[in-house]
Amino acid sequence: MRVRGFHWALGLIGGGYVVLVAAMLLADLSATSPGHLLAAFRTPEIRAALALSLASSAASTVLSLAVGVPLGYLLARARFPGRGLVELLVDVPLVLPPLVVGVSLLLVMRGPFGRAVHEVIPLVYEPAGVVLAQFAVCGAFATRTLRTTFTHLSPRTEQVARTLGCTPWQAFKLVALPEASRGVLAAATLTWARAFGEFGPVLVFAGVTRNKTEVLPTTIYLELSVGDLETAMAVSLLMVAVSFAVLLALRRLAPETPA
Amino acid sequence: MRRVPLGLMAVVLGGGVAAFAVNRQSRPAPPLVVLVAASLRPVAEQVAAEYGEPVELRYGGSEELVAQIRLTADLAPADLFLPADASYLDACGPHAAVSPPLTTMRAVALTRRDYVPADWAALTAPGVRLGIASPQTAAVGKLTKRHLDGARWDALSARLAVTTDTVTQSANGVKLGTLDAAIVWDATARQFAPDLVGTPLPELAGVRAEVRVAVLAGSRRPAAAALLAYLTGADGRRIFAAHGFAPPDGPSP
Repeated sequence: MRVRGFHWALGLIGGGYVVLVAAMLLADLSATSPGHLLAAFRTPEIRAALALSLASSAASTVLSLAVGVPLGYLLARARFPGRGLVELLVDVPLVLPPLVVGVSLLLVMRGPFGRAVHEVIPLVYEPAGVVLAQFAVCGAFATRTLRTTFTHLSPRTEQVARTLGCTPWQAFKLVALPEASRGVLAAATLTWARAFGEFGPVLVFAGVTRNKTEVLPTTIYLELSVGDLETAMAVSLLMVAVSFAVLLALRRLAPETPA
Repeated sequence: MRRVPLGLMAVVLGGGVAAFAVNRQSRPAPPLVVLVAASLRPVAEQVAAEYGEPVELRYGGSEELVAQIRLTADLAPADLFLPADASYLDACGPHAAVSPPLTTMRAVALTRRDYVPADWAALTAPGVRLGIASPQTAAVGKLTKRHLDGARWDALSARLAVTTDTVTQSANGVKLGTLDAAIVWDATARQFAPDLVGTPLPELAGVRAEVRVAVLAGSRRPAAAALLAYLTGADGRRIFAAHGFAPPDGPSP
């Protein structure tokens, strides 16, 4: 009985936030109509923005995990000079205002290295730039999540694997990575969700060109810029629906542990 | 451990680079790139649809576009710049050419249809939630502040519920009901019709802005001047008028 009361108290405290999110969604619903939703989905530019949003979010999630797994593992397990500085640097994209991330990327591209890269893979105001802008922020989310995951995993099993003849790489691949699979999935979920909703860096670095670099958050910006609140809210709800579908699919990959 | 044959990797990578290079060389001429204030999107989309040559429209807030021009003029140059008002043209450096005014905008009080202020006193009365775009970021705020003498601006500032980043944000506030009124351009008010109505007031009569288009100094394309001429000509005027923009120094449509 005591536990139940305790849970009720927690529910009351946390429930306020859940109610706020639900209220925002209901308000969005009331600001649009099924007709606007249908019209938004039928607009070729918005469908192209949806396709680019899905593709770029998937690509930036893969890139973020590709750097987040080794970097998170390294920061959790290894002791090396400058480790504290690396940790600080990785956290920078989390605290920088999103517009500043976009401007910083543009400044990097003005340098000799950036120009050389841009010659081979055009990035500024190009679709590939959308992925880079999302990755610049999401890489930090993936790394932080995975660092926490590896920190909470005991290194003992890896040490046992080493005593049985595994190389460090084999111990990482065969022991640490499978143990961290739930954390990797959590990082993927967080990263994808962040990339899907990323706006500021994309706006500045990739620009907003319809059928080219427009993603759903920039569609909302464009519709609000001409006062079309109904379409903006319809696109918002489309984003929510797609996010729910993707996040539910990701959750199915790692079912909740029964209580 | 199985090794990937290095020769095969070299062939694949080399082939990819060669295909990429051939593809780049055989591409058709790139489209004219026009930086357009997001609030002028309907006009720009119609221009791009009707103009005979391919045009790439890049949208953004006028200030963001100025920053883009300054940061990436040599990296990803644009050809023309169509900001929300002509004052932004001064901020982005020299131009190859600037058009005469394409349209003139006048400041009005934007409200719902059931609340139309009879005069300035009614607009600035206590209890009226009034908004305007910030004088630091938007022309309507900057020019309103300049036009009203110091005391009247101070009185207006004291009554403001909010200053927004852009003129459309103020108008959205009225549409959402979080503001009772906002000082916006007449062209903005027409974008929000019929839900909202723009009322001209004598105190705002001198607050006017022009929209001009410029060929940017970094443009290497002779075709840019042709698009500027198209926007300035009869077709450009027709398209602006169709979207509620008054002709230069003409009456509101």
